[in-house]
Amino acid sequence: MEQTKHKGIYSTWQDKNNLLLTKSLTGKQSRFKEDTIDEDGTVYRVWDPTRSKLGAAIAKKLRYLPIRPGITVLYLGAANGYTPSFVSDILGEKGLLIALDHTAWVVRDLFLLTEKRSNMIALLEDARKPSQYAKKLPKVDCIYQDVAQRDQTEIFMKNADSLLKPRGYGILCIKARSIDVTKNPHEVYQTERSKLMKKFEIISMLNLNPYEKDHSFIICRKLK
Amino acid sequence: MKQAITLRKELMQETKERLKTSINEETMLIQMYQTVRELEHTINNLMIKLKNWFSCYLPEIYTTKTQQEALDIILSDSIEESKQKLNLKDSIGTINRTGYEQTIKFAKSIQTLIKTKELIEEQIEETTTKIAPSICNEISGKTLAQLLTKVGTIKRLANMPSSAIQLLGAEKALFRHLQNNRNNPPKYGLLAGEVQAKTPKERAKKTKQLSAKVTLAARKDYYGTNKT
Repeated sequence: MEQTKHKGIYSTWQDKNNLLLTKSLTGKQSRFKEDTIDEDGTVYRVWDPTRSKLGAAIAKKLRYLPIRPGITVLYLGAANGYTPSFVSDILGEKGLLIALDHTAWVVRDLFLLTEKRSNMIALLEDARKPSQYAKKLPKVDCIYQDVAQRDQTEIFMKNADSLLKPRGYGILCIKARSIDVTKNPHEVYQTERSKLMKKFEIISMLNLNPYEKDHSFIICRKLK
Repeated sequence: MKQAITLRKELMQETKERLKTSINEETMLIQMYQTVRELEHTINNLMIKLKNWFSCYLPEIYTTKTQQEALDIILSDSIEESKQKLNLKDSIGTINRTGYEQTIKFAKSIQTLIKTKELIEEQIEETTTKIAPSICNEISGKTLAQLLTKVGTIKRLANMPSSAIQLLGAEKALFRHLQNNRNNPPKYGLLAGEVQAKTPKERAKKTKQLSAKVTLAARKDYYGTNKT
């Protein structure tokens, strides 16, 4: 079990494969049929990069990850909660993860997951309308967004305006095919990047090939 | 830290309440319709298997035309009776082979599946006439459930233009047409099953009229004040 350069994420070699691991908050229970590894009493959960875009980015040697133990994260587009469960593992008991989705069908799954994790909150809200939930929530250190909508950058900017702390971080998964099918993905990334540049500084951009097709993983930081 | 715990409690309670109210009648209809489709598919496959197997004992089972007819013959009290039903004096198959009783059990389980399917279909008719009485005057409840699987809710159906309802279920043809203009645009989708017409042109015309009626009925059902 080795600590990677990102805090809270571990790696090990098994059958010539490099596995990503996080310390499990829920013991040996696994909701997504993921494997667990037990070493000296601490249980680790195996993170599959093909099922999670954050996992794919870390497997592709991401330089800097703003998600660290103990901070508050807002997660837009949580879906069934595969990636959120690992983010919650990284944050640990002292952190707080607010996961949000607007389809009741998937929030049911998310809710059942949340009940077992004390650092996680599930919300049934529309990410397009942050004014409806901004008052209820505390300011967050980091916003993770994976919604695959045409106006996903605008959605992120709206949320960042009302909820992100000054000098807070943002993580975006840009899906080029859901923004414009006809354009070349690289053009799409550049237009989205130039939109972000007004209020954010770009720290890194990463292409998620071969785990995800036509996806870009952007990490940015708020200017003020 | 204490703040975070109370915040979590409050927000989770709110989400719980929202989840409880989120499931409406339309969701149940969609689930029921999808189950019926799945059952139809399964029953057809199982019937092929059953006929194949039973033909070892009585090959003349292949002369039957409908599923129900074949099931009736297989499930009759004795083998003589089933021969009688087929108007047979002598059969080319042999009945004294192993596993005959197991086929009968298999056939019985298929029959229970068919009964379940019919019960769900009745429930679909009942629910659709309850939530959308005027649409059900125009089309059958099953077709309405099929429309709802595409659209989601009655509200969205009521907000759609008539031409969009006409083409529901023909999305593939429509987008093929929009991508390159060489293909002709589709004229009818799911609603075409409800009209009787000889030529495609006639069918297109009748579907257009029907979709106009469905649109009006949907608006009456959702926005109307006195629901009858």
